[in-house]
Amino acid sequence: MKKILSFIAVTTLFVAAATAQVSADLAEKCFKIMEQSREIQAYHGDYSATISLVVEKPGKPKENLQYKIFERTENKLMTIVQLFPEADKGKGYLRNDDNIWSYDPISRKFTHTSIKEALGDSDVKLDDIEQNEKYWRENYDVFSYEEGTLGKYPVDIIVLQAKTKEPSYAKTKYFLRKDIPLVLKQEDYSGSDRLMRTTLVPKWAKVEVRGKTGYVATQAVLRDELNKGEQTQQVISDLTFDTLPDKIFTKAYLEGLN
Amino acid sequence: MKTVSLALRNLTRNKRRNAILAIAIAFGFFVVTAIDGLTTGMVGNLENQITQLIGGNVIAQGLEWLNPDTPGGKVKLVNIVRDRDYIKNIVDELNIKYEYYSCFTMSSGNAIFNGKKSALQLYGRDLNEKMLRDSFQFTSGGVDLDVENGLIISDKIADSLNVRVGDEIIYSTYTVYGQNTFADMTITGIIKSNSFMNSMQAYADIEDVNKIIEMPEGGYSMFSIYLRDKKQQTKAANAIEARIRKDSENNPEINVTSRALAMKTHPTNIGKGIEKQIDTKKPENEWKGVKYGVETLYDEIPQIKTVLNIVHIITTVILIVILLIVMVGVSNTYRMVLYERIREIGTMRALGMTGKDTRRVFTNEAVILCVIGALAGLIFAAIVMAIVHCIPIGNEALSFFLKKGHFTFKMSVLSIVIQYIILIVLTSLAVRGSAKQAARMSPAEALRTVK
Repeated sequence: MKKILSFIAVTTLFVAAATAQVSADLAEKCFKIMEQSREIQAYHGDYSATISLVVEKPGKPKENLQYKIFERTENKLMTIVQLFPEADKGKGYLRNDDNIWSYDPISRKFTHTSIKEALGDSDVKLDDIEQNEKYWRENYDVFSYEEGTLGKYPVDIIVLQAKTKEPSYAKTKYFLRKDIPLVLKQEDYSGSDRLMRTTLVPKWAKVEVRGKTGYVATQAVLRDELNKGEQTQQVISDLTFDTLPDKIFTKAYLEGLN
Repeated sequence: MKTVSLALRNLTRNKRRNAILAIAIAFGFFVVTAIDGLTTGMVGNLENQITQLIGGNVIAQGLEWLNPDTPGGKVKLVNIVRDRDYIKNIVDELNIKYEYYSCFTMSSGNAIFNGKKSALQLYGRDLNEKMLRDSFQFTSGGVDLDVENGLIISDKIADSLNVRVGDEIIYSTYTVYGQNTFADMTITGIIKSNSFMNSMQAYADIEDVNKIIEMPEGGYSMFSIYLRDKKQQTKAANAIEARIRKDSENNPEINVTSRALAMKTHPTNIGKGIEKQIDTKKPENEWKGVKYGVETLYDEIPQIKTVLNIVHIITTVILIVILLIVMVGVSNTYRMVLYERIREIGTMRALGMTGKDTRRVFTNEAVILCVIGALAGLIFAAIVMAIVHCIPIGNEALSFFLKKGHFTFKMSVLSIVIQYIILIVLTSLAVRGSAKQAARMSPAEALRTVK
């Protein structure tokens, strides 16, 4: 009897392990879809945009924030200037690789921090903004793949499981449009398979950048699933892909604005 | 001796004037003592709260260098001490005198309950520790080791989340490797918090916290020692560091940062200097096994020492300014006294009193008056401080500087002695002119003077 029970237990474990991982071909297909989803985004080279955030927290009034963002993706350079609320106008952030300097226009002082500290308690995680082309292959195993629909769109549903300590979440489920591999929804899970965060990207805009067509997420909603009712809505406007002058990515630029 | 008794007798002659002068001196001394006591007490309370928050005034933490799994990845520092007894044995071996020590796993995150969120600093501790248990002031519930993921929070956090003992909250945090995670935790106890800083502190069993943040079993993140004499913190930290260094010579898996090097590179901020020695951007910093960093509270927050020094400078300046004002009054009074007693001085000089003795009578009289005034000021300050100490302060903004909701006053014997010496020196200088004039006076001329 004991032997039968052990056999069943071992078989169950093997079956579970086998079903947890997809075939190599399917995994390759999934990674390609993920890489394409990154490739078709227009955020390459220089760009600037206005980002409006609406932060909703249960029991608290909505908070509106607005920033102007300038980025040079190749060199990991970024300058952010706060436009709203009026009380925080002129506050700035300068990013150079892993270093971030926050600028306070009242004291006219810069404070150094790391990107990880700067993201702090926000719903944005480090790997949301730190992804190279091999990011998926190097850090994840494909856990499952299926086809489905999300709203009116037929989608590929890919579940990736972290195999390294780089990703912020143990498991992530992506819903990507079948016709154009755009991420419409992303669900992040803990190691115990509990949903911790949902990102919805309902609106994508097609743009022409330096002769190449790309896509830009113009609206996104980041929902904290552990704290129901807490979400950040992000709207992007005034997007331009003109080459930005070098001086924008300097401390002097932030100081000169005030 | 005779000059002292003469000085004392003179003090009883014009009681009203002397009393007013003594009150002025007493008031000056009262202000200085009260300000000094209050500010030293406030800074001391702030220091104690920070010490409590980080667990002690000497801290040893272990860090592991974790190379990335992928070529593009980044090096991570993981805060893990796998050998629970290592630092404790060193502390015992070095015979360091401490109030208590603790090894704990620390985790920062958010407690979430019914749409409400509150930041928590969760300490995974051995909840059987007597010292820890004694420090808890439960308003409801208590320690319950039978409950898995049992959580003890402060009354302020309980109020902000609107939770009671038995409620289950979500604790959202990060693993030791930086991945997002969470745990369902049950409130087993609510403790009284006395300040903003300790209101964020929450406690759970170390093994539960280790499991939540994926810390290896038996590991911890920090070892802290609360020294009996906090002035010994640098000495204790240096001794522990030297002892670890001795071990590192034989064991390549044990490493330690250098406080001496940190002092050279960052003389005003040793903590920063130590941080630079474990900078992951410099591949030459890489180590195998664990690297211990031994720091003191002042290394971590050098501003405390600076604030303490500034407070002492400010109070000393206030003391000197007040005393100078009082000394102008003393000097003027003794000029008048000289004029009033001119014939008397003449008589005493005619009867054989030397110029030196005359000068002594004047100086002694002023010094005795000032010492009596200062003593009265000190007693008055002690009474006022005792009364103020009894008043409960409900102001949240002041909670950093309070002890259990009350102002505390700290008076250093040394600083009082220094204040008295300054007072005596200044008084002697203030009456020097009048005393000199009295000493030089010719008896015949003094007796001839008509007022």
